[in-house]
Amino acid sequence: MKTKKALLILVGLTLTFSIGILVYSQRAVIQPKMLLIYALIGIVAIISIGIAFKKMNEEKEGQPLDDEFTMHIKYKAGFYGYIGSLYMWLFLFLFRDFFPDTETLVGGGILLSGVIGFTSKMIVKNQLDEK
Amino acid sequence: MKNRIKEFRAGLNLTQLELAKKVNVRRETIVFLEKGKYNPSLKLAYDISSVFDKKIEEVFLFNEENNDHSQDKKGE
Repeated sequence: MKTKKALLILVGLTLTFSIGILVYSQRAVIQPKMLLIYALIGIVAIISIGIAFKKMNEEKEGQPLDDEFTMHIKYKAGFYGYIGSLYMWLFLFLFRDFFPDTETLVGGGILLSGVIGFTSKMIVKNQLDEK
Repeated sequence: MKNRIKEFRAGLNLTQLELAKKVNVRRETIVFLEKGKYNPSLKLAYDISSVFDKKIEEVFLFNEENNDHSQDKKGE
């Protein structure tokens, strides 16, 4: 539990520091397109921290972090996420001319991979209806 | 596969969280089990039945019509 809290604090500090550096490097001149990306990263970070706190509370209640059901969901969602990510990278490289530089392309791809993984998990969970 | 988890759990005055703790799974798993949206492993089915002090077939109602194996047998 202490390790998790320490990890959470470390991630939070790193994130805050990174955002601070980014904002400082931009010298308050942030383009609207970049502001959208920062907002997206911020939202993902807030959701992740929220999920981490929820998991910590559940662990306090005595619930295990993983069981056979969550592993089942993870395996299934992992497979769909992997296939989805393959197609996503294929399309990113096909339409690479739309991106201003390689860093944006790779960064966008990583961010989209996360979104695809999360979406797959939600879809698998909602469509779970075994006979 | 249908089951009578909700019914037996109510009989013992157990909450979903309490049952989840007894069989060492997450509450979410009990929710999906009660809705019939997830088929448990044999071990989990056994653990749940043990909590209720019932046989597995009393808690989990197996429908033979959905069983491919039984359909094969009928075909033979």
